[in-house]
Amino acid sequence: MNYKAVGNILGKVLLAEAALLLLPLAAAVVFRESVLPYLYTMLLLLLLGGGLNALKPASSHLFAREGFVCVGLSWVLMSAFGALPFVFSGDIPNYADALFETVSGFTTTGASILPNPELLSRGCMFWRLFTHWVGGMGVLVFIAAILPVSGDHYIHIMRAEVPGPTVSKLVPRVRKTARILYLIYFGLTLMECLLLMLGKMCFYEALLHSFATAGTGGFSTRAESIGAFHSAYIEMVIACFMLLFGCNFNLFYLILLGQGAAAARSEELHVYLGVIAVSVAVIAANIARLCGGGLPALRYAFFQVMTVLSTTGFSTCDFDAWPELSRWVLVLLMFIGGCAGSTGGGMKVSRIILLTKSYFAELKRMIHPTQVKRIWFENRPVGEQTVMSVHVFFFVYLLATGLGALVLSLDGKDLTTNLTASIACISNVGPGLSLVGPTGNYAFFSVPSKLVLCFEMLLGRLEIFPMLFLLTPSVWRKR
Amino acid sequence: MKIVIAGAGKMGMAAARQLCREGHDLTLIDQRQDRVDSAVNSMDVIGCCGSCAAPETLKEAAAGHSDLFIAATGSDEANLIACQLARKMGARHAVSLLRNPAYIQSAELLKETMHLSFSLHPDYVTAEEISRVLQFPAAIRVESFPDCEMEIVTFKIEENSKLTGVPLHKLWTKFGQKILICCVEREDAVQIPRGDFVLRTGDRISVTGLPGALRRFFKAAGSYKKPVRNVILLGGSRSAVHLTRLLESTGVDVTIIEQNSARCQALAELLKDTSIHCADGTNTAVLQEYGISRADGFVALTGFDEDNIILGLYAGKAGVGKVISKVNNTKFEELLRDIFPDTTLSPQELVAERISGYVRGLDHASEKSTIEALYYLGDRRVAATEFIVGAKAACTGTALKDLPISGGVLLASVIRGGKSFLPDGQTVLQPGDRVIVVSANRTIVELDEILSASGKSV
Repeated sequence: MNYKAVGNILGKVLLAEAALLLLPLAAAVVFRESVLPYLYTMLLLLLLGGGLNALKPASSHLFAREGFVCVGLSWVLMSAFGALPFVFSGDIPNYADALFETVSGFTTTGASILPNPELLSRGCMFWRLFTHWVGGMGVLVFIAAILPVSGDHYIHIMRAEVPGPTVSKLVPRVRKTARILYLIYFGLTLMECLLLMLGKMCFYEALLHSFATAGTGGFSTRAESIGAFHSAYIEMVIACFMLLFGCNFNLFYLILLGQGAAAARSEELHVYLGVIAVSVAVIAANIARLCGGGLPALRYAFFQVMTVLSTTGFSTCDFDAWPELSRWVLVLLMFIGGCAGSTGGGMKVSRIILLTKSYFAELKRMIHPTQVKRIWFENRPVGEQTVMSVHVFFFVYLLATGLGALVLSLDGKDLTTNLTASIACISNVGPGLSLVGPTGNYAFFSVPSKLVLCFEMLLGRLEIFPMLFLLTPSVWRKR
Repeated sequence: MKIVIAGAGKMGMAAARQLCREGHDLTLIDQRQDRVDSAVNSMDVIGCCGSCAAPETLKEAAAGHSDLFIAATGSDEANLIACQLARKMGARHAVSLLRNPAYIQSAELLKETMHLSFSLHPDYVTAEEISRVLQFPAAIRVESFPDCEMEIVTFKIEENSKLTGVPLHKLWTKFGQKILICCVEREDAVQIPRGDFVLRTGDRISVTGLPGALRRFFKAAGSYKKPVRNVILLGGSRSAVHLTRLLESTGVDVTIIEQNSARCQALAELLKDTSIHCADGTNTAVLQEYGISRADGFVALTGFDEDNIILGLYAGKAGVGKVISKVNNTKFEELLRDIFPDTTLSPQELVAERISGYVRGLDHASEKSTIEALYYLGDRRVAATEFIVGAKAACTGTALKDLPISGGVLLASVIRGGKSFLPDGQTVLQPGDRVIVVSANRTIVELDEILSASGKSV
């Protein structure tokens, strides 16, 4: 383990976070609030980050192990410090609550312990929604884009932070890849902000909701989330952008290169759109009578399907009150999540495709034991290793969800609450069903339960392994 | 620059490492997924698995949009087809590695018909380098520059050499020759020495000067060795054939020892007058029998690094004046330098150097300066670069002593109107001059970089 090199990267992460805090600080200045909470946090970040950044590693070699540890630790530290402004400003005086809110922000979960977020100071509100934007594309990718890091081994860090079963660069250089990703991200966010302003949303709220959509987070400035705006236009704009941010960003790059046809051939995209179409149809039919007509049913169904599948977690209505069938469809969608290489959470559409295909391949192999068949995905054969790691991922994902719910059950709430809270957190969705449904929140959980949920959110965002490595003793050995 | 390299074998990887370090955007193509993976995991490049002679693969690697396509697979034919396809798809330049001697003879014709920018012959490049070192046996390496009479010679200061204890500013008066010491490797550090620097036994120094002056300097310093006349080559590889031809054309006696009898037959067909022996060269009795005690040069060119190193050491002990061993695996270079007193050469590093020199020429033809050639002196931490001074260069028009030339950089020679001379404080650079710049621990890509501390670290 190359501790100094890892420390050096962590230092850069903390310094970057200090720089990012300038934005809520500016918001606080604009709204004439106290800037001290941000200044104190920045000071702490600069001290620790500067110290770590000064570490001069003997060799800058980062292998897969260091990559995972870097990413896991970065996210833990970032959340630990990111919670401080809430505490210092007195908006969320309890540190465990503030930590939960911050982890939920950075991991783009959107699960909240606030009964009424409208009571927050404006600066804290800005920071709370901005964490979604930072966490969506990932802070280590951000660092690769702006700071001169050696690109030779940074791919291990990229792999650990960018979601998906296989991660590859768009262009040869890590740095250029990171820049392209952030440019696409920034461009789409800006576009959404403008479209929301056309729907008579004020600039401040349009910007914050764009942050929350871009990261597929789900925090809102309003207690009733997007439902508070009572505007079909705003709902459709947000739903469409949730769909876009749930797509693989490589596709946008292909479109930018003028290879839209190649992007349209993506197998993952087809399945993603198929899942959306089927779920919307089923739910709309199921809730048509409840909503009083086909059109409103479609509107609510589309928004809720997008918010759950992209793992954003906005709401326009109380889907917890919907019929059982619709509720279950939504829970299943939580597991699937967005596409690989998107800002969404969940298991990712591509993994579900690979799992399904390997199920059929296994069936065939049992009937014709001598037959040799490879699994194909996106027009190329998939390596055995990749399939194997998808299987392991699937198992650990379910295991973590189950164990998480087990710990939550100690608080004595009902099964639906515990199970959906666990799923909604590990899949980075936010709202679940029953007590943690769209109208409820996570405030009632005990502190240990909240910490378990925090861990689950990080597990989900970083796709299990970086967080598990932090708990594996052999990883920490010197060599 | 966007560069696509086909073939992630030894040659391809060495070139890729070098070019990646110099900041180019690389895409590597290889048929083996494991090679692609290991390349992508250790360098900032993207990989693409497939045959380089297949249009789909080239398309996936965006070879058509590349500035340079380098074909470095083990197959000449695949290299040529890949280059031709890449050029057809729109690659601006294409370079192919060729091993088959038949293709080397028709290199010019191939270049024209296959639309290559140039073809590189690793075996020939190696042979050329070895023969250059054999001409100047006191040196570990000899570098010459195109259109320049100056040479840069690297050698080690032996015990009881007259150079030991001499400060550099006294060299000219003591030895009476106009030469310049442009870099010194002492223990693990590399530096560009100043006038008060004192030489020590064990230093590896690189000296610039005209060949005659260098020879006289070596004689005066007591380090001169006569050019070799009688060479034993171990291993009858393709580079051995090239080397034999080069050496025999200058009147050197060559003995080849090769184990494989079929190969020996083929060698005897290719080389009419050479004495070729079919025997196991790793057997010391065989070496004795074929005259290792009489030879003044020994070149180990077998396919095994270990054999080459051990036999090189043995030949040195047996009293052979100049020993050269081919070492493919350069990862242990530092370790080797401690135990191996003489020259080691790595074909893929030589090839990587040629390619990167060419790329620099393509990349940095600006109004300020143009790179003509680039060499590394022994160790990769010291680079010697030849520039043509451009019309807009900032370092023209002022005497060198008045220019803020940064540390770790030295102007080793200036060529003006076909004449080479060593620059001094009064020298004023003019547009059109060629200058050779030696830099330690960084590579200079633009002549004006000698004025500031903004080089790229090597």
